[in-house]
Amino acid sequence: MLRPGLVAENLRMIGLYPPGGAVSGDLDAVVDDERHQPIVDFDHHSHEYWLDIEGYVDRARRTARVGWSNHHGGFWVVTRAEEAKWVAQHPEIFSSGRSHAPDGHTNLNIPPSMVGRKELLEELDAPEHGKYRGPVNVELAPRRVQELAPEIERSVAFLIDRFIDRGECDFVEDLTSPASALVTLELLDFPIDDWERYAAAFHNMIGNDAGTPGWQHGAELVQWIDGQCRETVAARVAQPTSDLTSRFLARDVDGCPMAPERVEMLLFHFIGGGTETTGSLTASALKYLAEHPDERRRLIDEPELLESATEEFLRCFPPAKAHARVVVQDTELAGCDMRVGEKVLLSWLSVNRDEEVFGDDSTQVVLDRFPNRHSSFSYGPHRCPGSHLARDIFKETVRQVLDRLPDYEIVVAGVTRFPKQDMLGGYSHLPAVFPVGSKERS
Amino acid sequence: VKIRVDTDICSGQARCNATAPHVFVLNEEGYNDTDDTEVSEADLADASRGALACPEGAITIVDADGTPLSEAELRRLAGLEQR
Repeated sequence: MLRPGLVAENLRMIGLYPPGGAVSGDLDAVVDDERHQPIVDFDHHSHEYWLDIEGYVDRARRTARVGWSNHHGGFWVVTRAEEAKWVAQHPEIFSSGRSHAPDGHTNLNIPPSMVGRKELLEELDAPEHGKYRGPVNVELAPRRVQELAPEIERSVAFLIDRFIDRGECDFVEDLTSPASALVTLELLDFPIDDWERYAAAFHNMIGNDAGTPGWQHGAELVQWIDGQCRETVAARVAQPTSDLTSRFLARDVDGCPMAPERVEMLLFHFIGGGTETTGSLTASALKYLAEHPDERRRLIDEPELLESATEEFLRCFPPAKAHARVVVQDTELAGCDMRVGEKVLLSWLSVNRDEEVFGDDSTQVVLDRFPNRHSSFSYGPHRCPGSHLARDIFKETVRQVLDRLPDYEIVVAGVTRFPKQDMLGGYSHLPAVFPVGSKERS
Repeated sequence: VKIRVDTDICSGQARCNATAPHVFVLNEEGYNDTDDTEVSEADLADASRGALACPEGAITIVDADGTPLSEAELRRLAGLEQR
């Protein structure tokens, strides 16, 4: 059963859409006055950005801490950690909600994109946000995630078993993307048999240009997932069990049980929020380690290094490159006079490369860096609720790859990146070859 | 010496707990639950590391007078080089 427009709605809401689609509003409202200074030529939808995203944000950061970009109707861009943290920690000034956007549009990307009726958790401000965030936190707190360790280990092993005797694989399609999907299904107590559909859905939509057959396939699967969420909620309303859906439905919100459509939203957010993001991080790290055999060797010889290395991979390869906010109280930031209704883009990638926080080697990968106060899960109340689960899936995947196919090499000619990196960055394909291994594990 | 946690700023990043689990305890939702907790001499290095790890800057270590230790002091106590 297809609901036209719903897929795009849902994907836009979690910042994954449009992938490769045209973006209107480019340089159509050039502002050049005393208040909108300093000017920074920043366009996260541009080809120049896509080609060299690190170099692009480094140039922007060296131009201004906070500056005005005239692209996409005009917006402020924040490049330094100090200001980005301030913005993210003050949602009463910098809102994630939909005010000052056209009806039905989200402010999480710039320009605001049409999303229709549903608001995801990350679009809610206090006090509404806290009502749903608390129940989500309980399900994803470190203690709960630790209990999932056997499922994570089993899921990763299951996937590697499927290709270990082939001597080749596509890390993204065969491992990093499905690993998150499998674990998420375990977490949600959803039937595991359909895991390939969950794994393929978001990967196909993000990894292909909008409108292509691959994208269309993904779009249909995302609609199917949305239907699964609705059907699961309807079934648990009728007959509660002990699963996560039933626990959400039993939670008290404003003196009533949580509304079924809010539970549907949370389930969809769990699946959409974790699937391609964690996979993006793991793929980036596996590619980096193939290009730096000494670092790979070091990680194999010193397994305890994986703890700090995980933070460093997060810092250097943040899956979410940027998020936006809308000003809902006039304010000043780094000398910039910001007015109600103006949009603000937080470049997490630039923040993570800020010399003021990370020192002179901020653009280098340093596996034992400490402290490592990166922004890859965002700062403030919208800190990625799946951050602890993402870390554990990432670590287990890298650990098993280094254990079972330590001599893998990336087939460089077959590597392709997502067609857009405006919000979510990552790889569509990361083919690898390795000496044929055994399904027997140590 | 005590831990002070700005519970309005703590967002549940939980890097304190990952860095020094025996010093920084989390509540059911994963937020730092050690505001106003005494730190023993033996735990001071780990407490300093945990405070330094916080991306939000929500944790301070205060001395007997209630004065917050500086970042440089935390680094020294944690056994890190100055940078």
